[in-house]
Amino acid sequence: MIKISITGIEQLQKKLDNLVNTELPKMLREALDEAAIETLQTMQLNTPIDTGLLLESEKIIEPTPLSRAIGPDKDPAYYAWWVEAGHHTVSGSWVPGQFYVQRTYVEIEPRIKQIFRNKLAQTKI
Amino acid sequence: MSRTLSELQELIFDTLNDDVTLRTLLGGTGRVKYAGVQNKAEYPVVTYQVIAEMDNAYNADSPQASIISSRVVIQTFVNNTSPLTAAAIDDRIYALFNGQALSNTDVKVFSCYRVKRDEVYDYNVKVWVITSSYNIVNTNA
Repeated sequence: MIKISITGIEQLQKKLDNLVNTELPKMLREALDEAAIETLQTMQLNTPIDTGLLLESEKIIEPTPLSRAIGPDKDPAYYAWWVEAGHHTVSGSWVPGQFYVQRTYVEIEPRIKQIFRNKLAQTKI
Repeated sequence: MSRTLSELQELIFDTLNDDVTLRTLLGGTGRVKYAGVQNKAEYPVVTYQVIAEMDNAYNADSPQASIISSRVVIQTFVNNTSPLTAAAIDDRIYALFNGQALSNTDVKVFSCYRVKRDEVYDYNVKVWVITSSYNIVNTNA
């Protein structure tokens, strides 16, 4: 008869519980917050300025445990989409879009991946 | 970045302007324009612009480091109450770009895919505007 004895299961279980219930949610929250702040800063640098209202309205909105949304507040900056994608004036001529939100995404995407990689590497198991 | 922006713009323009099917949908020549020069008198019209360019992540492993990720926006404008013509034009543009290995004497495209599409009807001027964005990974030919 061969008898196999495994020790340390309880300690491993405790570490895994701690990882899933404490460390990973903490890492995720910190990474999301850091990514959101850098995205907002990049967006503010890309935002075209006329009155400054659009720039001032930009913030981190709709935070959930698994996401952050960054963009202009439609009240008061109801015209944000027109600045982004372009619009017709009263006379009918076309003002081309600035696409500052989309440019922000292109610029910040590699940095967001880097933030999550760094946070994951720092997570204690 | 070894190829110039104008060389990529030329590839985009030629791809749009030289397609007979798209030209037919647009009703003739001269209906493809750079985004900054369009005016209200010209419908239907297709405009294009390169809104952002970034060094590709794979450049870290490349001694040439010349791969570029370009974000290109192509907009379709049609003054018709029906959305069908604008949609047909945008569909043709999608066929010309999405998944296509485009190239000319200066630029070679590794991958091209649509990342975003928005469709808006402007009631004030009665014009459909379809905005499609493409990610084009490219380098010098």
